[in-house]
Amino acid sequence: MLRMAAIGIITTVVFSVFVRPIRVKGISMEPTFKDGAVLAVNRWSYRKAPPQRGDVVAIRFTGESIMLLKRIIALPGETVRIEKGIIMIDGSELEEPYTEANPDWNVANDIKLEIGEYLVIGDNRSMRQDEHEFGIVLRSRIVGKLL
Amino acid sequence: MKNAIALILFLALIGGLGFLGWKIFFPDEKAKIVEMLTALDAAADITPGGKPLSKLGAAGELTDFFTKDTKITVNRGPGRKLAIQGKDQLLQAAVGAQNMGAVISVTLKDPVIELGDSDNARVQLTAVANERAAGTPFVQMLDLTLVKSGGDWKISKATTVETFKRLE
Repeated sequence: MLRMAAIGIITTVVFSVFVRPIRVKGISMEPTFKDGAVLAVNRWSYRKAPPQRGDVVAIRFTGESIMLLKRIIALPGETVRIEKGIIMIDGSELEEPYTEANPDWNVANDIKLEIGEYLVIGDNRSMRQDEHEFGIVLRSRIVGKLL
Repeated sequence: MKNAIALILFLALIGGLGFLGWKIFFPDEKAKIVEMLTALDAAADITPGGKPLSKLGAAGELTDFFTKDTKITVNRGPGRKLAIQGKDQLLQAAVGAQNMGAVISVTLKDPVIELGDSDNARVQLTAVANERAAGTPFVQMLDLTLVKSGGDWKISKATTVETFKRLE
């Protein structure tokens, strides 16, 4: 009885404090994560170190019931441009082995990221640019890194 | 000793029940707002079919959550802005959505409520719309301004909040 209670308490603490289970809905992270996949987010991943390029992160809205799953593409202080689907960071091409560039994706102006700002994009670039939710997100909205 | 413990437990139980009863019969303003949002959540679903009068009734039920001069602004990026001014326009928009035959289930999540003075409040929440035909749910943060009118909380202003700063 005591052992069951201890397991219950530990499980509750782990899943409410450290790890957040999520279920993918939608296609914006394909082919890396398919619609319906069940994953977990480490909420403590950025307690000691800031988010890094290439990390797949969960982004919260007003709470954590619904979150977006995106990949960090550019970091604070960097300048970004998208030309025919190729992402340029501070003038150098970003290698993206997890996706294929879509030549229809373009962002005309250079974007300079301020302190605390990250550029996040989903892996599915076969989608139309205007149908894909992406952009600059504040550090405070990043809940954690995918385990 | 046993009697003392039993008495303490009994008093704690009575106190707990009293507190619960107080909360139920005399809810605070935040609880009233949550109740209103739960009712709005249930009324916001769009289902096709039915007679014109029942459609109008359903749309009318939705507009009851808004003030007469409500202002709703939905901004979905360049060239995708929708503005509704007043309850009549909202009613027309709701009936129009029903007539389009769409099946949309709307859920309101994670409300963050800030009470102003006694008759106004601000709520930020996440609206999730699941359209049967679309695979991906549409998620949008909303900023609502509420005013208390005749004892009920109503929405006087609703605007969308950008999740991302868009790249142009």
